[in-house]
Amino acid sequence: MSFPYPDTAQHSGAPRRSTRHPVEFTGLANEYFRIWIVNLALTVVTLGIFSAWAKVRRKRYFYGNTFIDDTPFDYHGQPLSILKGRIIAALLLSGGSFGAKSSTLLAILFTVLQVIGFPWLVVRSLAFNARYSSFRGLRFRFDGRWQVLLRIYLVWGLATVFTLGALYPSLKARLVAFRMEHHAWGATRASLGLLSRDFYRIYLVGAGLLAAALVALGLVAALLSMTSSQLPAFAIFTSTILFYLIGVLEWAYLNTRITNAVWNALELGPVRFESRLRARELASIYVTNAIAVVLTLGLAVPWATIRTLRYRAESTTVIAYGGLEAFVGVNTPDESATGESIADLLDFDIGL
Amino acid sequence: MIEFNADYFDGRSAERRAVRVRASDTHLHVSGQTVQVAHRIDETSVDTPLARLHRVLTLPDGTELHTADNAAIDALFGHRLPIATGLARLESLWSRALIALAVLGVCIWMLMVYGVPLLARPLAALVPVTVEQSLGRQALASLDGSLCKPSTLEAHELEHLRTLLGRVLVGLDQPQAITLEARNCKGIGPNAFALPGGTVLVTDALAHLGMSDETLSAVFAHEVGHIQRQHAMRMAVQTSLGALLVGTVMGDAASITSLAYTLPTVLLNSGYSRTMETEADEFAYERLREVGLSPSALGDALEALMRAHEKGEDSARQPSERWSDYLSSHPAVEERIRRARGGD
Repeated sequence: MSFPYPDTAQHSGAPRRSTRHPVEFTGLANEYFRIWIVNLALTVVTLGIFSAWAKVRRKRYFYGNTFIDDTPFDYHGQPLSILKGRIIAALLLSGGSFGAKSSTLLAILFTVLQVIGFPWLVVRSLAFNARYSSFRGLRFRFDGRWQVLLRIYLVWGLATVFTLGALYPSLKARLVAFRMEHHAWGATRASLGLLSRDFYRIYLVGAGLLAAALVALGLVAALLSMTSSQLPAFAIFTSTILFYLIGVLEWAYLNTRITNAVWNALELGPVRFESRLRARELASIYVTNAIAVVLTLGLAVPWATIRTLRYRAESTTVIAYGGLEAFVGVNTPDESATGESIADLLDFDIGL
Repeated sequence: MIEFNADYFDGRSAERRAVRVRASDTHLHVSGQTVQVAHRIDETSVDTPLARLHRVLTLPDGTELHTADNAAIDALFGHRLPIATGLARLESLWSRALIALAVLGVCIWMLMVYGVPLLARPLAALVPVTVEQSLGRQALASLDGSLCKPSTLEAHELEHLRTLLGRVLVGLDQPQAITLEARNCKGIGPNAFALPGGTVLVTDALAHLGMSDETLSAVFAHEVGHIQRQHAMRMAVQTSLGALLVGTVMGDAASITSLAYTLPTVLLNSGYSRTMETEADEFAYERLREVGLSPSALGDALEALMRAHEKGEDSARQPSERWSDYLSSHPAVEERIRRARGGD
């Protein structure tokens, strides 16, 4: 794997040989279109029940077409667990809102439950997703606790609200750290550290760019309305399009910079990552996706999904110091079998 | 005998070992440089086929075999997975994909046209009256801030309108109190609206149109029909349900665009509102009969409104005001007038 990127770790004196494995994505739009449309039709015909199976097939297709070192990922999620999760979530929601209508006490109880329930659901979903994902025969794991996530939401969420959003990068950094650091592949835990400083820099630059773009837009709008006084509709139309374009670019800037910062700082044992997403490219993918989806009344969704995933995969490289072979599992497979069936009763995926 | 190449993973480490697998009648014989094992086929589990994806066999001891040789796996395990094999075949053929597309189109159309309105009725009834009333207050506040000014009607004129509305309401089982408000809305012209929460909004222009009391009563009866049938709330619920349906269909593309959600619902809303107009008209016929008035008064009311709006179009109205033209979104006014008079 020869790539023109310098290996930073070698410069910093790490003596071990490193291997670069670009992440490859082999999904095809026409193949995925057929899978998507058949599963969608079955979902609608069964009034949504088949959606759990459709979801598993969709995820398997994405995982199975993502390769590192010529080995694909595997997804083993069980449709019945997903269906069960969706039924529970629907019952809780409808029961809750029905109860909330009948009495104020129940309404308060329901609100409290929702506040606690949200981090619980997030953690359960992450755990489910990790446990049913594997690479090279080793399962992933997520062992974050919902109480920790609730504390982050309460402390840093409220701090963000009270500072009118100024502390948002701190909140975001903690959420990302919680999500990443509680993941493990086999026995190897991921480590990330708190990226607050990087996040503050990214959001500050993002806010600056947004302000500059909006000022420029204001000038353009003023100019347009002066020069084309007969065509106010044209001026409004152009300004609206530019406004949305600025929104997409801003979103793409934040998304790509945050993603790059997180993956470039992530460590998984002897493995590092390199993420090279570019805001302009991601924004142009999203804009063309949106146009294609609207013009085809949704039929371009599979094509849009595949090209987005391909871009994201191909912007990532895995750098292994030593081979990937060296990773070990957390326990023997026979041991985990019982534990899994117990967790299966509690675990479900609601697809957040 | 079936043979295939595979990668062997023991689940204890990420080490990949290339192996050759030979299947006898009862066993899978796995042989590679560092692995020599045999396991019973009937105790081995296999994942379902999907496109070109490799297959994962889980041996009884939890170790895995990964192979790209789908043909060999189908020959060995295909009989175990008849449904999954059928599904994979459906997904692999363009002819089946086109059938799925047709089925999908028909189903979504049926759900949107019949399913969503059917579901919206009980759901709208679940919405607390207080929520509906606050929605109505918001709607009125937004009108006050843009199109409408305080009414210039005299107190006795307003009192007269309220008396007429009260007469239409005699003996009616009302889940929510129905009240009347008047506003001076120049851009809207002569018209009446049913706001969620039980408010009938009348424009000054309507009161000045010189309609007879019976004709005005018919207008109110129609608006009361909208309120009694919770049309504003049902419309809101239907729009959300429609968006939910389209969102479910779009699934993983949820992040791509919200425009794709709103487009089909906007197109459908005009269809929904026509059904609701008919419902309110039918309520009005019934109500007018019950309070001893003639249903044909609704025909007179519609005709008077249509004339007034046609005149309004002729005079120099700004094009931007035309969007709010109540009657232009109801092209079947002549039909409604005919029915009101025929139903006498």
